[in-house]
Amino acid sequence: MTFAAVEPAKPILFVEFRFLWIFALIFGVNWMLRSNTSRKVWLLVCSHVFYGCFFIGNPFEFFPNLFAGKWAELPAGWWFPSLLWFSTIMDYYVGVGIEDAKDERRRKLWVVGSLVVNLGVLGFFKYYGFFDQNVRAVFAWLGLTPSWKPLEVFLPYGISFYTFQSLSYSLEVYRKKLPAERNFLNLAFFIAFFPQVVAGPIVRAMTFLPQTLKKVEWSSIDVRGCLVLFLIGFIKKACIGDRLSEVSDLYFAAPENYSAFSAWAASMCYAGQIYCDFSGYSDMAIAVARLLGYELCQNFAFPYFSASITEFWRRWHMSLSSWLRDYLYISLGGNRGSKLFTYRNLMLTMVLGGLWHGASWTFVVWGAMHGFALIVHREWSRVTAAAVGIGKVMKFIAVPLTFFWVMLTWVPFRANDIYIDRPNASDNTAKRLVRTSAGFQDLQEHKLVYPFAKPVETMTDGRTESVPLLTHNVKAGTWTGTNEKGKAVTIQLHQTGFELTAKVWQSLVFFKDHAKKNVCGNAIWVLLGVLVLVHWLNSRSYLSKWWRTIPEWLFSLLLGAGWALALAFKVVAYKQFIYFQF
Amino acid sequence: MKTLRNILCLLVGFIAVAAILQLVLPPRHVPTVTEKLARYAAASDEFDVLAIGSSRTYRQIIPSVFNEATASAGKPARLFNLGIDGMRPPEDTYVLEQALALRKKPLKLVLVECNNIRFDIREEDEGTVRAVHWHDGKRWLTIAKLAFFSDAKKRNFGGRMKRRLDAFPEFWGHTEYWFQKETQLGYPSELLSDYLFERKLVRNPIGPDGFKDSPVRSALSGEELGRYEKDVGAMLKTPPRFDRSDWVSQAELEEKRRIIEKAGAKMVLIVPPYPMTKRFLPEDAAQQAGVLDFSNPATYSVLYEPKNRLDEGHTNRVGSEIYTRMIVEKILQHL
Repeated sequence: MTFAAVEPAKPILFVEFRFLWIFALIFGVNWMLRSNTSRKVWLLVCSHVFYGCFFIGNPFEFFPNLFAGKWAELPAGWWFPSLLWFSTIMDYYVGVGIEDAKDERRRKLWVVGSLVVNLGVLGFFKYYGFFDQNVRAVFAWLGLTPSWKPLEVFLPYGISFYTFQSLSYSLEVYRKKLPAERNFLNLAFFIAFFPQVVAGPIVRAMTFLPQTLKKVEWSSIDVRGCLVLFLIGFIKKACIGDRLSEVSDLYFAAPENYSAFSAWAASMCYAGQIYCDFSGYSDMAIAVARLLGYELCQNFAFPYFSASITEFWRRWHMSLSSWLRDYLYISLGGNRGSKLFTYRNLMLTMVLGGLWHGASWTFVVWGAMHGFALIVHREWSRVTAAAVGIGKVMKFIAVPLTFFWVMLTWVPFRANDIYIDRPNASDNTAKRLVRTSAGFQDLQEHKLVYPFAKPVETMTDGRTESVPLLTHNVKAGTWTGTNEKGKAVTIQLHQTGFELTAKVWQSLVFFKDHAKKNVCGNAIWVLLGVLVLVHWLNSRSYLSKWWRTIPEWLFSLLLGAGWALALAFKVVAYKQFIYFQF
Repeated sequence: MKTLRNILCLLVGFIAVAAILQLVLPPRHVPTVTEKLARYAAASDEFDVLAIGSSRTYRQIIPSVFNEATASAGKPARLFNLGIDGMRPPEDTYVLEQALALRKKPLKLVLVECNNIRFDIREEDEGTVRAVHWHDGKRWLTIAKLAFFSDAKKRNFGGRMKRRLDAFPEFWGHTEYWFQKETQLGYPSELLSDYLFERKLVRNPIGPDGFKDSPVRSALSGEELGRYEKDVGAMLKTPPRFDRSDWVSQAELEEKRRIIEKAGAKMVLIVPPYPMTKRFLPEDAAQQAGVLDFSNPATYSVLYEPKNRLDEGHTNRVGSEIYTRMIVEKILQHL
């Protein structure tokens, strides 16, 4: 099977109604169970079921199709949950193997084995398509036609996160900072724990495994704090992030149609969106884990108020940046060498960090820009260390300057290759599309409009097979074939991510108007201003304590009112967390 | 006890804010529905007859033809067309309640398209305000009854359980719509979005009598014509059988009759002309007799002639004029 005919299932989001019921069940049973082991078993089962639901979709459709052998009707990647088990079992034996190894060479072999297999699996799923695409482009440039058929590889949700998480365990055991976990249940629970398995925070084994050893009492749970944190996360994601995405989605689909004002508005909205989306997810994950008695690590600390790019990386996606620092940067030699050696390590770490986010050259550029900024900041700090006057000036411009740079880097991070479905249409009605693992999606409606394949029942035994609909012509840069109804379709690359990035940067840096039209009204600045003000007040702890001092009944009343308002301002459409794609 | 008190306080806070939002926010704009109700509210004192139902009412009962036919028959009456594409019970009962509350003078008749309850949400309405607007508590209860209690008298326990289990996902969808309506879920956010993008409300062009012609298209032909003729041929051989549907649909019909009569009008049920194998009618024989039933292609052959059809399910302008006049002929006695 080359192409899956059915789109991957829609993951369960923390902001969905159905999550409330699922969590109520998990929470209720967890606290009814008496022993620590039975709680861990329950949470492990729930975690795998929860993770499985990301792939199988509707169980009432999945299982009948599975048992009837209708393979093409099964959602793409339905078997991916088994990878989580594979990773767990392997790392269990690696941990024990490292600890039991008689000499250093064998210890090294074990850890290298873990690295090769873990990163190999991650690399195959994440980078095969990227590699294949680039090799094909080179072949096409040389006038050659590759003999192998394209293989559409889907990225399993969360693989980047749980691979890094399980690797942290093997590496800590190898570095003798952590004893090997001989209780399989504890390790399996650590890797699969559902609040963080799909999009982090990337919890270290050293932080989590000790927590699995002791039974948590309900009385020790900060329920009030958890409820507030979850509500804040919900508001960040469902009310702010998803609303801001409306502006950025519209603009980034066709920046050539908009003014420089739009580029600024959309880029700031995207900066707000990605922060609210990811930190909102992290807040909710931390709150959910705490309600079940486990502590995850902090992931964000008001990163947009950073006064330098170095500080930004201490406050943004902290679990990843510290992972990269401890296991990659330091392993590469860190700053234990010449200046050039340190800068090489910085650049490599950031470029690989960029590639971790996604298999695309735009992510490489994003990482390189951050690496470059980190190097410049180091040099700047060294040169200006003694200059007092510069420090005073920088105090005022450091935060906006850092934010501006970060905002510039979000452009390639956000940019997609854009396709159109009627390349020769002169009436400007051609649909703008983006390529996904299952086919081409309409950029406006976020719906799969041209799937790569469709399920067809075989004449002989009534089973279902996947029949390809579109063929890629690398030389011409087109996809041709039919849509699901049999109508002929030609899809052509309209604008690469780099072209799009260049256009947006022209508007951001040189205030170039590509057109006169604005993506939205001036009210967006008021909204962004209010959001910045609330965020600033929160960073100064003005909003983080008062609710702890009020009576319980009043807190409950306000929480109820807060939920009613949050739901009213929620964006109803289903919008996946951005970091689920990584 | 403390936990119970806290939960209660949480609910009070939630419900209080939801109620305040209901009070302060303008009603949601539901395409076609809002425009029709606004049109009716603006001139409800001009109309004596209401017609409510799906596109088979909206596109097929022409008020101008109705008014002219009643006038020439010496019983002048003016009709407002409250038909809306895809509208079936219980949505139509909800819209009817809204319309009746807006009337400024007593109505003589309400022409109701005879349909049973639609349990599923039309694909094109899923996730839209059209799906949300009618999901008040009363309608949600109707849907719940249909999902879980409509077959209470049947004996097969296993079958009943399976049907309920199958109905659950759809029922859950209705529950989410109900929650969305009552909590105004996402509505202020949409208003904010309209403000940010400076969007102007696009109103559907609807005539002052609620009517809008069907889109012009070529006559039935080819495969569609073949299919249509086959279906009508089958109806001629075997007339559509009476379908009681379920007791919840029957109760809904009764409820409609009750609210219409409470408003001082008389309900006239209509089965429009289109290919069907069964037709939903009231259970009561006396009421059945009063239904304007156009489901017989032998009796109403002109309505089934391909030249008078827009598509398999609807008549074209000419067919609709004939259909409207036929309705007038049959209801003159009530005017």
